[in-house]
Amino acid sequence: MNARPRSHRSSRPVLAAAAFLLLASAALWLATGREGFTRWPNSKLAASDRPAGAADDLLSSLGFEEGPDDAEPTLVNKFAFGLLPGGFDARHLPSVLLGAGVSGVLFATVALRAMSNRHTQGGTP
Amino acid sequence: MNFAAALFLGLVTVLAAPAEPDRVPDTLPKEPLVPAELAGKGTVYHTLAGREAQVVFTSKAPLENIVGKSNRVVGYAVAGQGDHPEALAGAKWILPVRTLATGIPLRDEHMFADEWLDAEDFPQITFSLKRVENLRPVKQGEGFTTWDADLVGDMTLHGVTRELRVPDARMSFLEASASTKSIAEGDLLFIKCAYTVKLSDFGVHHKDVPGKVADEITLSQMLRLSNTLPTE
Repeated sequence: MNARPRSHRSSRPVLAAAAFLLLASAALWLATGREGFTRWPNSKLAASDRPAGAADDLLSSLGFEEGPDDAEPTLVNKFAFGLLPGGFDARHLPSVLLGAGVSGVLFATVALRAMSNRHTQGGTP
Repeated sequence: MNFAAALFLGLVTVLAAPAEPDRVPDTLPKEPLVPAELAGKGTVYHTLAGREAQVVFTSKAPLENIVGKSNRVVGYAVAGQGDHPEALAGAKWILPVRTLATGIPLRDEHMFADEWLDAEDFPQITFSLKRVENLRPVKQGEGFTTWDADLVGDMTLHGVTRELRVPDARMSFLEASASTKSIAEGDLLFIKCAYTVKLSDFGVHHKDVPGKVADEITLSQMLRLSNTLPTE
């Protein structure tokens, strides 16, 4: 006789998926720089970065030398999985918040199902 | 259907969806017209836009540093008369607010919202040069002269106009040559400067200042201009 209820067996994959999602979100956040917002490389921003080469040589000859304090602030232009969505489009929605939210829904689903099963079993004469 | 499988498929669909079209438009804003009385005072130089970054702004706050840029500044500068082009007769530059980009679309939209720069009501940031002060030569050579000067003008941001002094701006006038053709046609004018503006001076007040966004924003600019109107 199988003593373990079917509900326990069917909730394991859901719990595993929830745990995996939460851990994967956190790991991706840590691995991509612990940024606040999800971001992706932007080709237009990259193109507007000042190119080195002939133009810089010309400017340098004119007296536009770069001192130690003159370095242009750099714009981060890379992929980062953030704590929060970086926008409302499909690419920027994935984030730790979304991962944690979905995990929470899965855990809550399992918990509610377990509570419901316990209630049903308790009501059985 | 198994909920986990449905969730996995949903995530794959989201991540595989087409990317959002780039928010910054390809078309350049229109250069402001040079007033007739100003155009007659000297050579008009037109700002070259749409290429390298022209303005980079930095906000350094305790909780977050923000860097953004734009390469869509348009405008003109009118050189001084005769042998003194460095004594600019006038200039005007326009920066469309919505061309500023920080690399995070959500943050950019916050920046354009009415509690910040309010791009809907005040779509442009403008600087109109009134006078050039404290001119001093830096370097001179074959076909070029470079000067440092303080540029004084009116900056309009968020609907508020205030006089702004841009100290130690560096300007260089360069005659057309084989080396300048790689940048643009015609005689060139380069203007490089750095200055700060306070958001509160221009009516921008927010609870996130100064914790997440600094009140004092640093701007660094590198403008390239040509006396030949760009064809693009």
